[in-house]
Amino acid sequence: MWCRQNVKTQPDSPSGAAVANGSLELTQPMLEAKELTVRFGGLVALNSFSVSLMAGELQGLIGPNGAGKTTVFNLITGVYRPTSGSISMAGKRLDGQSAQNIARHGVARTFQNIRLFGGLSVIENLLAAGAYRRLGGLNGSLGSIFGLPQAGEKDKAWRSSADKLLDFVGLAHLRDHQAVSLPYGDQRKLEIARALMMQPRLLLLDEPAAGMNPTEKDALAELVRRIRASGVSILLIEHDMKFVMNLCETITVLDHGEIIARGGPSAIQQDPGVIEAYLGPADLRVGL
Amino acid sequence: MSDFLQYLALPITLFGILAIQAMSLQLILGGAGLLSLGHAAYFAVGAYASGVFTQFVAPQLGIANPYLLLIGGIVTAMIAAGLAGLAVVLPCLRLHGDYLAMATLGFGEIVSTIFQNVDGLGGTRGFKDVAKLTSPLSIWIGVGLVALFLHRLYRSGLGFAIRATRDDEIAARSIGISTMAAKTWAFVIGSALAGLAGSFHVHTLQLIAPTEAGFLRSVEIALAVVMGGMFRISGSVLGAFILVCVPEVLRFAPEAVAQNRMLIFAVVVILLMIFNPQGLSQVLLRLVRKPRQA
Repeated sequence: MWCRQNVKTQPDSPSGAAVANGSLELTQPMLEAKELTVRFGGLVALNSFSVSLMAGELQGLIGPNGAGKTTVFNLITGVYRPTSGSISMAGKRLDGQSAQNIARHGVARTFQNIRLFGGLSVIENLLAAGAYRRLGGLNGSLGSIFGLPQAGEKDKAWRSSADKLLDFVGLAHLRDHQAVSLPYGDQRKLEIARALMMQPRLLLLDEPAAGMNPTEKDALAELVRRIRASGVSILLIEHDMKFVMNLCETITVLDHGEIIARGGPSAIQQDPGVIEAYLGPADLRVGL
Repeated sequence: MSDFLQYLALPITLFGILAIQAMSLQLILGGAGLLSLGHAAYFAVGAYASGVFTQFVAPQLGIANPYLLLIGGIVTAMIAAGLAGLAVVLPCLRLHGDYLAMATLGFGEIVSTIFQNVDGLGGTRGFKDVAKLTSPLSIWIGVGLVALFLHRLYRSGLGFAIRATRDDEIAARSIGISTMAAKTWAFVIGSALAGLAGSFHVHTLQLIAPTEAGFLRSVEIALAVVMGGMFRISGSVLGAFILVCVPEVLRFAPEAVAQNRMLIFAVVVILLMIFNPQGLSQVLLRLVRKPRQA
């Protein structure tokens, strides 16, 4: 469907199949960030952060506000440049490249404060996400402007993949609405769909469940599982602990730009350092 | 009756030329979200280039067929105006909003000053006695083709890249769009289309004056775009219609109105912008859609 052709996918199979598919590339991590440090003036926003993500793996990134979670995403996607450290994807160096080139390598993301294209309709937001590929070095665009037959075929494929994706996230009935007129939860879903339109190998979700009610959160968790089942590696930032604990096998906890813990959900929940970061020192927690 | 038709030909022609100018700016202003206040400069560059081609270059090449002359003039105009647009946009790409507006405004004045000082092209008196090659029909075919081109452009990959860049540059980059390339293409294509309007202008009025490149003309074009509704192609045509035709219609109003028509027109424009900032095309759209909802 919307997945990369080179990754074998079985969208209808149970999620277990994805792991088997992923094992084809298990020798090399999909995403490997090593010793990432970034300073803004005197402030160290992130200190020596490392993470490694296999193909088809889903990891969580949590931490109190201002811990540096979104900074990690901004480094991986090229919005910021790391002061030191390296990022590579399937063996290819990403750090130092422009944001649009990193996106073209198959890194897609959503934003904490939703960034949809307000002047475009729902379907057009998705079409925009295929635009760079549709450009085909401008030849493609000229072809579709002047109605060349070859371009028509490609245009059809481009448009039908956008429609399929709308179905996949359950927004097909809102196809021609203005993106900004959608309810909050649907805007988040549309952002995810837009990211998927990139046919990503790695998806970075920045607080996808923020502002959603419990029913919407359950639907979102199901959606994330389905995306993962299609072979996409996912790194997830989320404040909703239940949401993260249910979805991720591995969770990294950040505080003040440092990794303070990493492990499975149960280990993280009992980690004294994590409890202290969230609730304060033990001797101050009277009555909790 | 035939007198009246002859009188009508000029407003209809000017309306068509301004419509092309406005649509060409619409791509930059409404499509890419770049505030350009020097758009008349590309129009003038196109007009001069087209005039130079038909008056000086074509005779040397032995081209005398009026259609070939017009086509050659248009191609020359679009290339020259497009290059002028490229020369402006490349150094100005990192400028936003007001700063880009100032830079483009400056460029317009520079172009105006240059043409004032080229004596071979008429200097301050303007480039005169250019061959008349157009008719209202050919200009309106041009209007139709430009509208169709822009309509299709907005639905192509490049069009989505341009509009996405306008709405959110960070998000646009996150989906693989080169925002610099999108802005450059929008600006260059818009400039080239302004050059097309310039070619029509010079081969209709047989004259292009350096003042046509100046600030006042740029503001007039921007006014047409904004008044009609800057996010719609049809808005630019509508804006051009108001700017050219409303003052003409007011000529036939009772004398008290006719004598003060420019004053009344100015008030109408101000009221329109206060009460309907989205432009007139939005008003019409609402009127058309209302019966359906009822």
